[in-house]
Amino acid sequence: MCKRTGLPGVCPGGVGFGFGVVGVMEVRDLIATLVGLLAVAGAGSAVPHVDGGVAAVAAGAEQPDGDEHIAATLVSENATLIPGKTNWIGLEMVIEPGWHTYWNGRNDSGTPPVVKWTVPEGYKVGEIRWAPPARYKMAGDMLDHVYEGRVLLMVPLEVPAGAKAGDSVEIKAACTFVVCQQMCVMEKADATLRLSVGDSPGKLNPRFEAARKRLPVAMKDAKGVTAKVEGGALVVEAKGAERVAFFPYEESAATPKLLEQGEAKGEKLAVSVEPSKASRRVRGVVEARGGTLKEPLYVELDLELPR
Amino acid sequence: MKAKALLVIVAAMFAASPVMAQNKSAEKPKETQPDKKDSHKDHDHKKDKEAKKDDKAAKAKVGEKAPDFTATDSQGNTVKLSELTAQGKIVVLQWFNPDCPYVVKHYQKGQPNTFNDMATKYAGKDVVILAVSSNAPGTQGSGVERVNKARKDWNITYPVVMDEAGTIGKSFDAKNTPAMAVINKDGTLAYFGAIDDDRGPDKPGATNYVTKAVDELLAGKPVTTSETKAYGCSVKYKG
Repeated sequence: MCKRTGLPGVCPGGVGFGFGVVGVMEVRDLIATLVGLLAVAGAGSAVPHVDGGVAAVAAGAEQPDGDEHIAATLVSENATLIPGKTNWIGLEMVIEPGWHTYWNGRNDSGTPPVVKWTVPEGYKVGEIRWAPPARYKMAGDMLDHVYEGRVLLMVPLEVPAGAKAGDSVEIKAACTFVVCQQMCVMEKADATLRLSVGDSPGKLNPRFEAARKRLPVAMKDAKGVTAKVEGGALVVEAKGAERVAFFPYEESAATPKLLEQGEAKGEKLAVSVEPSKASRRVRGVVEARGGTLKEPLYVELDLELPR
Repeated sequence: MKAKALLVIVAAMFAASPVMAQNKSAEKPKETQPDKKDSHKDHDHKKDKEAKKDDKAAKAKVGEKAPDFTATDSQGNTVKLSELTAQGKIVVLQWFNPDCPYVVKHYQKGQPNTFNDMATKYAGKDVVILAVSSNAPGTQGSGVERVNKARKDWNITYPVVMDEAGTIGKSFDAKNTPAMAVINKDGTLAYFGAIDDDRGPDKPGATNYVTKAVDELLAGKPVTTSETKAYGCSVKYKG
């Protein structure tokens, strides 16, 4: 829906860019994109490698318009919901180029999106599956883990067994974001998803499988990746990788030199770790990319610090 | 007036120069054997050794003497921390950016005005509240004009110390607005971290760590929660 007009479909006017089914970008947006790309190149040093790219315009997701710097759309993996099963829905965030919002892990500044869900009787929404972030450094030795461009946050929806084919379902998400460039603003967005219950899932939204592939896997399932805590450091090895990084959760042992040590070229990463008041376990996500890895690999990490 | 302010800022920078001379070299973690004996004792000893080599130890630590500063507030008055503590005052520092949502939430109608309420609570007591603006010129919420407008709009009675070079902020390792410091009248940093327990951009939290700490200090008691992780927008340091 175009927020400006309140009508369904895309916002009218401007220069047509014609990416896929939906894709009209205003000239203003084009300039903003170019400025944003320059801003990303100049200030801050996040590598916007989220799938879809910084300025991707693709079917089915709203673009931020007017004063907005982030737009949120509720999407579904299935065209129709299957009763008695977990069906995946998601919050598709599109963030203005040059701006970012925050991951649900350790940040020096900023907080992740907060979503309040409204679902029909008998339906249940589970925890957000957080897509992997990019590191973002700021003056004053600060480090955040951020989302840029277009990011899908998947969420499981439990559909009751008693739901009948043809039932109409409406799901609402009231979102609060902090979205930042050099400055931060708080933005609220309401998104609604309307779909029906069916006998079969129908056509699947491919964004979900792509996002699923980027969710962290268990260490035991991560080919060629090992991690241990030794001599006051978390040591991670990823065979064949060109870059390895570690993104800690908030509830994790302290990593006092994360800014300098959290990312390394090559196959090996060493990050100093100390027990904190919060935890004696180092917890977070490992990223291994490049080299012989066709796709970046994300791995869940949870290791106890030896006493 | 401006020359005097410049002199004060230069003096403050000179005073803080050991803090500013930092070697930012990426150090590899040290290879040491974990000691299986009294691990708590040995851990602190290891930390002291590393602290001497780590330049960042020059920054304020809770339980140690807070770094002194002399600066000018947004109305042109000189403020010196050690003078205030010498007068027997407990000093509360509030890192300030009037355009940061995590700061704005504390000044909204219809919900608690955390900082103004705190100023009212401690009026007439030996407590001084100072906001600190460490944002570099040209960044969000920076500059005397913007700060004075916020003071006016929000009926802020306490001063805002101008720290545009970021010296004071860096000496306290303040990363956020609002980050908070509480300095006891003996000059010790008694609390550092968040203002309260709601880390979001919407509303103040139920537990105010700063008033808790100040009340304990006023009663001559030790501070039970002396350190939390601050929240908020990043301080927009120079460079």
